[in-house]
Amino acid sequence: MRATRAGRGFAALVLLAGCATNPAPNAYAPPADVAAREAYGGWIEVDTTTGRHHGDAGTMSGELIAVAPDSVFVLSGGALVALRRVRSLSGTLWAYDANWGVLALWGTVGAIGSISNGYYAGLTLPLWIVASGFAAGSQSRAPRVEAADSAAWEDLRLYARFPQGLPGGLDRASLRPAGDTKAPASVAP
Amino acid sequence: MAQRAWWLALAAAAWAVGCSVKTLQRRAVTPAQIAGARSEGGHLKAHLRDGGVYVLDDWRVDSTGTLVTGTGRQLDPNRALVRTGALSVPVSDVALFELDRATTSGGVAALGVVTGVTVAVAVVCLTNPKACFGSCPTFYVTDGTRPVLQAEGFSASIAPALEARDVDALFRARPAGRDLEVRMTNEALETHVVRYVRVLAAPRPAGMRVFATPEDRLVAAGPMTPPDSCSAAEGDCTAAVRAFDGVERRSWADSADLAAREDVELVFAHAPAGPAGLAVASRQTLMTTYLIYQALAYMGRSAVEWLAALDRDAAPALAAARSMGGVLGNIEVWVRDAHGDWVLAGRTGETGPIATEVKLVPLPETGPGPVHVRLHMTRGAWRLDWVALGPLGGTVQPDTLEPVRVLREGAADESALRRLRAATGVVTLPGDAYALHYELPEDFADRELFLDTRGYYLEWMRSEWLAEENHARAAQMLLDPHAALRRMAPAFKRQEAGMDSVFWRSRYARH
Repeated sequence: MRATRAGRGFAALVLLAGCATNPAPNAYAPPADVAAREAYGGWIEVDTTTGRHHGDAGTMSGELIAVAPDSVFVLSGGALVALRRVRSLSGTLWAYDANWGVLALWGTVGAIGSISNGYYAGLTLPLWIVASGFAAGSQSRAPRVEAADSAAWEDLRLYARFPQGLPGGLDRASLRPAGDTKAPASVAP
Repeated sequence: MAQRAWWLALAAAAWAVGCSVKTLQRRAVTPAQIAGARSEGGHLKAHLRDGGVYVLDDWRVDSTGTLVTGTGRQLDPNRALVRTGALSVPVSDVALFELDRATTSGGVAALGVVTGVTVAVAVVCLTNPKACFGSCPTFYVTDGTRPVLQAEGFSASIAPALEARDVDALFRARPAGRDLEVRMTNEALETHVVRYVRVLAAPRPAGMRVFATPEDRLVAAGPMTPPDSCSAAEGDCTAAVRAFDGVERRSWADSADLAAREDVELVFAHAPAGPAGLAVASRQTLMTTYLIYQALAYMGRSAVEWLAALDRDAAPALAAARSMGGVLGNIEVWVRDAHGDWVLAGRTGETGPIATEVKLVPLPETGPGPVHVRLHMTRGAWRLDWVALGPLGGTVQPDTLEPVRVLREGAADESALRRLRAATGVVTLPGDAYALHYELPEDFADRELFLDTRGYYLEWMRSEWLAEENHARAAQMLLDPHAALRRMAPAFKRQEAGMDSVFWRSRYARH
């Protein structure tokens, strides 16, 4: 019964701590040490309500290809999409898989194990709940980089496939997403 | 031992797994800065103007700062592999360098610390469970500056059949006014049944103090004089016992027999005129606590039946339960009489390792000249804080005060007040704390205060103890305590030195 209560308490605190879910597909969510050796851009979700040159308003996602002074380039659905850097354009990028579930599991096992501390559990159980809740929550948000407005997109430049900007002679239609061996898609209108 | 190894292995595994949780540190470096960035280490990505990239692990910049070499991969704009192995790239071809380092998450360090705390507590309690969590009802009263632990109630009453009254001197109590607060706490894994808590306010004759005798009679005595010499097996102990200051004389248990005795010899250069009394401020070491917990461990899952037998079988069972205490005994006060013979004056010392108890033992006539006193007691079982001799006054009749207010967590608890005043008792659990208020007489500054309590308490069985369940050994402790104390001596000695620190760290309080 105590373990159940501890588990519920832990789960509640994890939720309160705001663990963030990484929406990136597997190909764009390698662990941090793998991401350090790969050269794709991070996975980004962009609010396109006002930023898209053409097409529907809403949210789009894909690999961040480059950030230019007036545009943001995203490889979405196999096509390179150019988004105008208007003031209200915002987006959230995920650079890697934080693997925060390990910390959450560690915290759960520790919280249950603290019951072996007898009445010291009155100290160690809350310590587990708080520490693991915040550790997991913080780790879950570590790979997230946000661009809340036009100026903040500069912070995301380093997480693009081409942080130096879109290469001048690049055949935009030839760009392929990570793990895709199919023929290049066409450039979006 | 197996549980300790399991805990340590689990902690090591948690640490190893946790170290796989990393965060990525990434920063941009311009071509002009790359030579200076070498010392930072990490993976280097050299982004070319055409969109290609070199990913290098072991990289360096030549002395001219124009060429970067290393091992790794060259990728095209679609990140298809171009080349691998030893590579070099002219700095002039590079648009931007990127330095990446994966570091262990700060959360791993935080959980590592919490794991360390949890494992340490678990291991300490597994290693020495009979020093953990021990206590009994504890009482705090101000010494004029702060609340001080001054008494522990009915420490020997570990079952309903052993319910007893206990009178403890609040020797250091210095109330600032007529309102006296006595803070009663349960700081152990125990259930306390407290029938009543009364304050005895005894008129203090000028120049004297009022003491309780071992029979709980209140008598006046004074002025009190410390001994001129104190000697024991370890040598001179005069400094330790001259003042009631927390500096205690203690000894260590015999390694072959926990019932082995020792003597402390005291000499007072001048005998008081007329009848005299010896004040002794003492408390137990953790030996008794250890033995009580060991007995409960041996009783194991049947502990309740054993304790119930105290009620069911009454006299025989009670006699058996008290046999261990009888063997360990109290502090015997012997005095050399006028004929040079040693005479037993009385016994003092109460069960309990927490609060120092002050009692006065009336002495028989010793005649003129120095007074020689011998304290005969179990080695390693007692701590002596203060011993003093003084002329004995008369018996003192105290006013008995019931609480007038009871607060629990800052709010009035009328039920507890009513039950304490009716002596029907309150039941407290670990972490409970009550503030009991008493209205002292107007001449409170000239009153000696005592705490008069009655009740019993029940130790909670610890899971760590169940592994030692052994009814034969439990029976031996009750029926042949001499043999049991010899058998348990080596195990106790292994833990004796560290028991105090574990005990005092393991007090339970709700914050």
